[in-house]
Amino acid sequence: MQHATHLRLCPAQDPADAPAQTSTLVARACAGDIGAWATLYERCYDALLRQLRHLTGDLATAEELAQETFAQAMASRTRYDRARSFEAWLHGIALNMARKHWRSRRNTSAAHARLGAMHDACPAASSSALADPDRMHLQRERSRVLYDVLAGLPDKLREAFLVRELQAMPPEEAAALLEISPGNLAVRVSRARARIGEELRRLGWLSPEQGASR
Amino acid sequence: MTADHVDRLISAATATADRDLAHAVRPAFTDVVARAARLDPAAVPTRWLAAADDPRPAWPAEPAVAPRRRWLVPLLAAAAVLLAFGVQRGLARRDPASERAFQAGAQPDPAAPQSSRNTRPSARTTTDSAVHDSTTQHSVTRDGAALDSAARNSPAHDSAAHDSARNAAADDSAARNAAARDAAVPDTTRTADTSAADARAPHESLDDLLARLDDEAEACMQAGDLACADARYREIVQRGGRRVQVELAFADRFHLARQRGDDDALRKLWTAYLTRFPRGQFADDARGGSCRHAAQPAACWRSYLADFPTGSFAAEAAEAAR
Repeated sequence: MQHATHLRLCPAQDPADAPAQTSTLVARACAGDIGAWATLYERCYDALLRQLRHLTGDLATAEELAQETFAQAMASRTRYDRARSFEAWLHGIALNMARKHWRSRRNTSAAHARLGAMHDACPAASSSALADPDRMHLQRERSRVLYDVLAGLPDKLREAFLVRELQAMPPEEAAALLEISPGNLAVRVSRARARIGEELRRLGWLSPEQGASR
Repeated sequence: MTADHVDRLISAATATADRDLAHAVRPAFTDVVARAARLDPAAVPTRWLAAADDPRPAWPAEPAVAPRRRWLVPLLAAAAVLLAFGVQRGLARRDPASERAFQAGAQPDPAAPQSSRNTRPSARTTTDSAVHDSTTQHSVTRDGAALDSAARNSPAHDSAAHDSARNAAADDSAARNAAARDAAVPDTTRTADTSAADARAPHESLDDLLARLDDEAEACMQAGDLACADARYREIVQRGGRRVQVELAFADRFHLARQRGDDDALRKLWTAYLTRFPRGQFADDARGGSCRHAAQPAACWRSYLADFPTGSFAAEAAEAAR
């Protein structure tokens, strides 16, 4: 399986010199240079946080997991395979963190209870004509709806959907990260979308006609 | 229709994530080192814990740009004070329209110097440059370490006063410039287009106007009146400067132009979009689409590859640029 060697999690100050800079930094970091780790942290943290925010749907959780990802990378640096890109390695650790997070919150009945409560409290969220003047609040509610529906999806479908549709990772990178083929990724994303639509209808967020017209 | 609703949820989720990330704070590096030590005490030397408080001097390979630019900090701080003074004086003279723009916090015109605090990359952008931008956005950390980083990464280390002053003037000029640029885009709906802006309520903020236009556009779409929808999206593009709603409106206009099969309009929309959002969330698509229709495709694809080495069209670009 091809690894995601072209991920750009840790941008260098001079992009032209990025590979050399990063490999030197990583070599120093793995040799125990705390300054190199500090620089990698400074470079990589924002992108890592962004990735985890998309994967988890919650900023506080993402901040916690981003720290944990770095801490784990530092602590397990001797297990880092130099043949693999550092960014891909970090991505992989972050993805595992996100998986643990999803497993810990796997209680779809609770998620659906929240969905029901939101639906009652915010019925306009399911309509196209937005009556709620607080658009940002509505967006946040919709975001919660999506993540709650995602909680009920199988891991494989949810991950494919998150990295492609929310994180907007290019197909090749996303497929490499999940260690599947691009074709398989496309199928999973498509199935995830279908399942989300079904779930929205089942929970009453969409009318049967809205689903049937597709 | 289900797909539209799922897309709506995705759009809301990405917009919410962007807002969250704009307020994120980078934890102190020392906290991470301490956490690593808790995870595996044997793997973290005790000297790390002491060194983590000030790890930067241990890293000599960092470009020498940082020390050279440190003189900028006091200079820019002084400039910020002057600007703040200027803003205070200017506020007293600002006309009501400018005041609304100031309160709406519109983004500056692309022609204006960029503010690192305002240039938030989109969640849906994966270019090098966008990711690079993202490293400068969290300019405040719990240990203050990234303040140095922000000064180093941002030639124009800006202050809140600086941002405010620029935003105050930027909105109207952005709208004017946008209108001039977008004039080149064919508009089959100009008649329908004028009503929304003219109907702007006296005290309606720009945010409210854009939200209302978006709602109207959606209602038009639901009714199957695509020309009406396009007119509303066009209005958002003209009015909204560089706000995220404008990017989405552009995307809807791309979609509508594709539906009409109007390649000429699509090309002009791509150009208008890239002028305003050269690193926007749809820049990869717009650049790729433009290159497919370019008069000199090889040169266009080479340029694309330089900017989007891992972009969606990278393979096609590499093939065409040979």
